[in-house]
Parts: sequence; C-alpha cells; structure tokens
Amino acid sequence: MRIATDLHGHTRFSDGRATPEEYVAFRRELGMRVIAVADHDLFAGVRRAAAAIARTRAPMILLPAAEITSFLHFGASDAEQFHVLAYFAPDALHAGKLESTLLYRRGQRVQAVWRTFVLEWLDGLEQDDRRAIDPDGTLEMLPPGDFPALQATIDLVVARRRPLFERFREHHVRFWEQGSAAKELFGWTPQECIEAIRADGAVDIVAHPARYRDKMRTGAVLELATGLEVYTSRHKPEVAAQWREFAEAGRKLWTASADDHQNARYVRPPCGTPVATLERILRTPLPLEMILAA
Amino acid sequence: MVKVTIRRLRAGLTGASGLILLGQADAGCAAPVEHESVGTTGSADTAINPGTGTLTLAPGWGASTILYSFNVAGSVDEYLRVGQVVTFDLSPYDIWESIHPGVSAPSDPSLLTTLTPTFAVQFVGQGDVLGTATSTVKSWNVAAPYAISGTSTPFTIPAGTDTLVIALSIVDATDKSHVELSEIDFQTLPVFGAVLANQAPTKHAIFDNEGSGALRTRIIEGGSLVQTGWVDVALTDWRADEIVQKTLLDTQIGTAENYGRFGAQIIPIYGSVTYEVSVGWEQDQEGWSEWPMSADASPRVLDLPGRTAYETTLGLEDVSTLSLYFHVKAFLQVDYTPYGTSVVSKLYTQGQSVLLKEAWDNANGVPGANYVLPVVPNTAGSP
Repeated sequence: MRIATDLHGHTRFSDGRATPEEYVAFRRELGMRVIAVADHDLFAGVRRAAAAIARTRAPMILLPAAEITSFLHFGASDAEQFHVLAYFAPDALHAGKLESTLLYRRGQRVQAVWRTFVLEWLDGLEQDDRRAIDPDGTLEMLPPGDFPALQATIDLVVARRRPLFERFREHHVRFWEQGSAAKELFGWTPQECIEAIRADGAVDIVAHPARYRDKMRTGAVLELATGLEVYTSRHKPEVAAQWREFAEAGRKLWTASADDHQNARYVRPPCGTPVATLERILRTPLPLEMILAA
Repeated sequence: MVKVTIRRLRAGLTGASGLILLGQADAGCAAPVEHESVGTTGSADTAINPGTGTLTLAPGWGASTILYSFNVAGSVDEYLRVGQVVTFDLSPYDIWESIHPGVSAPSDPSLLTTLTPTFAVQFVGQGDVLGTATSTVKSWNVAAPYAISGTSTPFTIPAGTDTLVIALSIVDATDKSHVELSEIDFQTLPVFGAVLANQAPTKHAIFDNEGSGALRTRIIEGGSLVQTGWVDVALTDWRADEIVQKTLLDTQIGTAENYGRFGAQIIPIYGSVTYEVSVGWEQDQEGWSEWPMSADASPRVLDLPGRTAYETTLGLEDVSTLSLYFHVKAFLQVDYTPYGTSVVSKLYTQGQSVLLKEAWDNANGVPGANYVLPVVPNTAGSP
C-alpha cells in the first residue's frame, strides 16, 4: 500500500522559487496526502508550510524535514556533496521542539554564514556594482532569517546587475567548500550526518542515491542508512527501478518525491511512498481514512 | 460581500435538462470524482447539536509582528455554532514572544508555566455586542519540556451570536509583567445558527470537498431547509478545482529564461486559473433558473486565509424541494509581468483570459441529475 507523497522539494528559503504556502497549495491540488518541505540544511519554511495546512484545513500531513549537506572527500580534489534527508515526526512542530534540535540550530548557523558570505562578496565588488545590487544598504540591515537565500539572491543579482550573474554563480559554490565555516557546517561525512539526524530523533533517507560519483562510498553509506529516495526527478525510470529493488532487498525504507525547485515542469512521482515508510517516520499509524483513500 | 438574492423567480428557462443538449462530452460533468449524495436529517429548523469546540491558538510565522489565528475543531465539525461549549488550547511557547519580545523562550518549563493567559470574548450579533465572557488557562500540562499545553475554562456561545471577537491578556507571575493583545491581533470567528427560530431562518448549504477527492454537501445548521426561510448556497474553490480537474488543465503561457545555481535555462511559465460559477436552481418543479454566483474571498463558510467561496442567497417559499446544480467555467489568466524581460516566448497576449474548461457539478456526476435539498414547513411560529 502506498500513499501519494512528495517528500523532497525546495522553497525560497533555499534554492526553490515557491513560498511555503504556494508549495503546499500545489501539492494539495495534486491530491497528495503526506508532504515535506525539505530545504537545504534549514527548516525555515517548515512552520509556514504547517501553518498553511492548518489554516486551510488541507487534508495533508506535513513532515518537518531538511536536506542535510555532507561531503564525500571534503577538501580533496574529488570532493562531492552528499545529501541526506532528515524527516521528523509532525509532533516536532509542538512548541519549540523542532527549534531545540541540533539540526535546527545548525540551520540557523547556515543562514548566518550565508548572510556573511554574500555580504563579503558584495564588499569585493566595484562600488557601482555594489550600489546597483544594494543601493540603500538594505541587505546589511537584514537579520539572517530574513536575508535572501540562494535563489532569491540570484534573482536579486540578475534583476539589478545581470552581468554579475555568472560571477556570483561561480563564486557561490565556495560557500560549501571553502573556509572554516564551510568545514564546520558541511565538512562531515554522510555517516556522521546520519548519526546526527538520528540523535535528533529524525529518520535518515539518502537523497537521489544515483547522483553520487563515488559509488563505493555511496554503497557504504547506504548500508548504514535507514532508507533511500527511490523516485525523484533526478532518477530515470529504469534507475529508480534498480534502487527500489535494492531497497526492498535490503529491507530499507524508500520514498517517492520530486526534488522540485520550481524551475522546470513539475515531475510528479510515478507512485506513492509505502505506508510502512511513512508510519516509521510518523511513529504512529496513518489515519485509516487516508489509507482507504489511497 | 455582494450576494445575489432571489425570491422565487419563475422566469428562468435554462434548466439542467437543457444541458444534455450540449452534448455528453461538454455537459456531462463526467469528471471522475466521487460525489456524496445530499443527506439531511433532523428536525426542520433546529440547529444541529452544537457539541463542544476547541480553538487552538496558532501564531503567525515569518512576519515581523505576530498575528494570531485559531484552528477550530469541534465534536461535530469545524464550525462554531450557537450553544457550543468552547475552550481555548495553547502552548506558552506560542505567547512567550508577545509578553517578552526578543527574549528567547526558556527551556525550563517552570519559567513558562508562570504565564497566565486570559481570553476576553465578545459575542456579536448583527453588529451589536450581545455579551462577553472570559476564559483563562489556570494550569499547564507539562508532558515534556517542549510539549506544554493548556486548556482554558469553557464558555458557551449564546443565542443570536454570529461572530466571536477575541482579545487576550497575558500575565507573567515571575516578573509581574503584563501585556494586552487587542482584538486586532486576532481573527474574528464566524458562528452559525444565529437566525433560526423566527419566521425566516437562514441556513447555509456548503458544497465542498476535503481538499481533494470526495465531494460533500452539508447544511451547516443541521436539519432541512425551511419554508419562508433563506439559504446561503456556497461552492468552494477546492470543489471547483475538483470539478474541472484543475491539475490536468494546460496552464502554460510561454517560456522564460531562468537563472539558477546551475546556470541559465529555458523554463515553462504558467498562468493562473480563475473560475466563474453559476448555480442552476428550481423550487419543486416550477422552472429552472441559472444565476451567477459571487466570488467571495473572505466567506463566512470558509473562514480561512486565501480561500474563496462562490455564493448566492436563495429565498425559499412554500415548497418541498430545492434542486440545484453548478456550472463551473475555468479561465486561464495570462500575465507575463512577473517574468519581466526574461520572457522568451508567449502563447497568448498579455491580459488575455482564456476559457480552458467548462464543467457541471451534478449529483453523483450524472448529467441532469440535480442535488435535491428537502424543504420543510416552518414551525417556529406565526409571522
């Protein structure tokens, strides 16, 4: 038995374009019953998404989630990002509970470091360029939580100084890879990342496992991981079929998501996520009417 | 709110049966949606047993100032009714910022449970304050350091109330600090069943769904519609989505260049969908009329931000049935302005409104089969 889900997608709090409210509304129209906002490394959109569901009484369950960045071979020439999705049960939304987790506080740190990173890049520009992007110094006044995230920053650069787009795009990758802050926040292995996710009481699911170049290290991480993302827009159907076979043979949890950034036609997951996966994350049985409606 | 009010107009000629002439493909309302038959039980003009209700405080997120709303859950459904016994549920974390702005909430529960919130509730009927009540959280349930909740003392919504206006005062016994949050910090809440026991009771018939899937029809006040009374008929935006199968509509209006972390690429861009909804109605078998419904962006039957209901009011006379169907037109609204100069190709002209689909909402999805609401004699007294 599977339930219509999209458990991996991004909003304007990372590199997506949608607001959390738009993100929720679109999936409600598609008839999805369990969804997650899973921005890169932070939970800033989660409560707004939860509020959107509650206020509109959409018949959906929201899983507080984030796509946590770790690295294979951090600092080496063959370094590559490795993403692990962290899923909390909805009771993490009870007052202050999510905010008490290590992952949440790490997310706040990511926002603060991103703000510093962008402001330093602006400081390195010619006066005219800097003035064009931030004419009245507004950006410097914004606290980390309100500072434009990646996509919003790109939009700002393109709108105000289009020729700087490529320069910023080439520069922005250093955020994850260079400097002490990057090492502190992202320079952990996927295994360390998984242990941190579990320590916070969340469930670890490896995102788009076909994407990683180091297949041997990926295999080792998957041995440890609780589950993996099988259906995603980044997997061709035949690739997804292989990963599903791998998951089922290894008795791993598996999920169906879109990894939507709202910058291409939405690719709806071809099937739902197994009830067993969802109930493991929820730590409670799914409502019977939801199962019957599946 | 503008409503079309109709009292037994006999001139309408466009009947549901006439829709069949338009052809099965267009008029058939053959959308693969589940329909629920209209079921009304109970006495004529007596409100449904109101039961109990809980108003869970929900602070707004992401704004510089906190705006509070309430999630309503009742023993019957999501509506508040006259006679209902109501409590507030909240967590001290949700009100901490209001009394101690800029100060992080303490992790020690004993520093949170010193807060005493008291809600002041005004019962408003037809614009007049009919009475007031206070409702206080006197103790907190500490299930875990981050799972603290409190339930306020109950109050009962008195007869004649159509709106609750709520304010909140918070006292912290630790430092004797105190804050008053006025009614402008809170949403007002609609109450149903205020106008029942008179010669022209008003009831609300809502045609909605549960977000997606099965359609449902409810008389919010319970019972049947009443002769010489009124019925506010509402069809919700989400039901319209379902009737036209919105997710299958092609809403692409062109392409644009997108700038993202992986570079520039051409992406599809989309317009929005709006609806025109009309209701076909007939009392007994006295002839059909089809009337436009007004789009209401803040309807009483859907007191939820961002939701729209399509509404009209019908006057009922000495008849035994009110038959209804709905006619939904979905329009694509074309607007390229959000994409600025990044638009690469356009499928339409700026500002164009394009009819994408026309569908009918008939009982059980059967063309010409209408929703039939029983209408019973008014027993509430003589005029």
